Amino acid sequence: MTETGFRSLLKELTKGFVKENPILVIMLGLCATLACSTSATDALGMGLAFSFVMVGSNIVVATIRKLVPGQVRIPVFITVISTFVTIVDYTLKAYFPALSQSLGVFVPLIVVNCIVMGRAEAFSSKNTVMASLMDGIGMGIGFTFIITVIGAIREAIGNGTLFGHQVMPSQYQPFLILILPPGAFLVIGFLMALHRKVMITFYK
Amino acid sequence: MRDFIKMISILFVVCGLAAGSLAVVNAVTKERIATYEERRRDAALREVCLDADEFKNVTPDRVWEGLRKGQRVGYIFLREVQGYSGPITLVFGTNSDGTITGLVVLSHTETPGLGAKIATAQFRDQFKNKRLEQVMLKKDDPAKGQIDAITGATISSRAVTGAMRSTLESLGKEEAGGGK
Repeated sequence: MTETGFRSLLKELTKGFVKENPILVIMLGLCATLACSTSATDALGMGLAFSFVMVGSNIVVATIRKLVPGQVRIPVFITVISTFVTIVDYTLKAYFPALSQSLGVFVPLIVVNCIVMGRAEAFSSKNTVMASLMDGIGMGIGFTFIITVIGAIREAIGNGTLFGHQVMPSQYQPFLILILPPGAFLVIGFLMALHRKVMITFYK
Repeated sequence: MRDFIKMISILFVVCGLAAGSLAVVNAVTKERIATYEERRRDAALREVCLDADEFKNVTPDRVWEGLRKGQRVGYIFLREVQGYSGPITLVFGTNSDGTITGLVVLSHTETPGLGAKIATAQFRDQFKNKRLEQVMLKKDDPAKGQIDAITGATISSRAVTGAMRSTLESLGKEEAGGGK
């Protein structure tokens, strides 16, 4: 592989971390982000399940991208993504029942996560399999990291715990609103502001 | 026209492949999932009726009798009820006089962090040793209710409580009717 080829692949990988973070910049898939970030554990679970499907669907979409006529690409992508999610769901249920027990609710939710669709449409339908793989991994890491941060903040302030362990003093009265849906918007809003500040300072 | 046929055939092939791969995955995993779910249900039966050493299925997959050395020590019910975001499957036991001996939430799709707390021991253990008239949310019946709703998840809490209550009520009626 040439030096520039490697460079550009690395760029596809890292862009999802900060510069094109799926939650803070692309702002797709907020529905899943709101629903699954009430605790750090749930958020991490959602992030991992999402990353898996993201990588898988990116690879498949990039592989078949030249065979699919433009007019029917959306139904084809949706079919690919939902098939992938269902396979993951069944496999987890059959072979990793304990993991499926804790992730169970999130796996089917990935179908409605429009980042997967968004990346299929905006990236993997136009790029090579290798670049799409990198893009999928990068988006997965970026999503998992931010949703876990949101989950940790909401759990710590809204419930006084972190990954299920008590972190706040016992007299602490939790701010319940952070666990409720509006709390997710508040936290995401603050993180976006912070993210803009970082972008302006370091990436100008 | 040529494009038209191409589109249709590609969609057809993609959907066919998707259906085919799902059929394969389903065939491979079906049995394992079913055994696993059965094992979980049996574990739930034991958990809600600790006194029993044997279970007799009275109504298929709905009602069991808990037996200890052949003697009936309690009933176990499996109920499905509509929760906040989907069906909740409950397994709970009562002893012969109708006191609740335990509750297990077998499956649910409630909101993680809120309604999903119906599956925690903290919520479930409230029902132990409660009688029919006490199985009511405190906020719905301050006088008799003995069950604390989960904060932010009243609908889920009410669904569980309501399902248990209605089962106990119909059980009571049946027994009263049968006595006449």
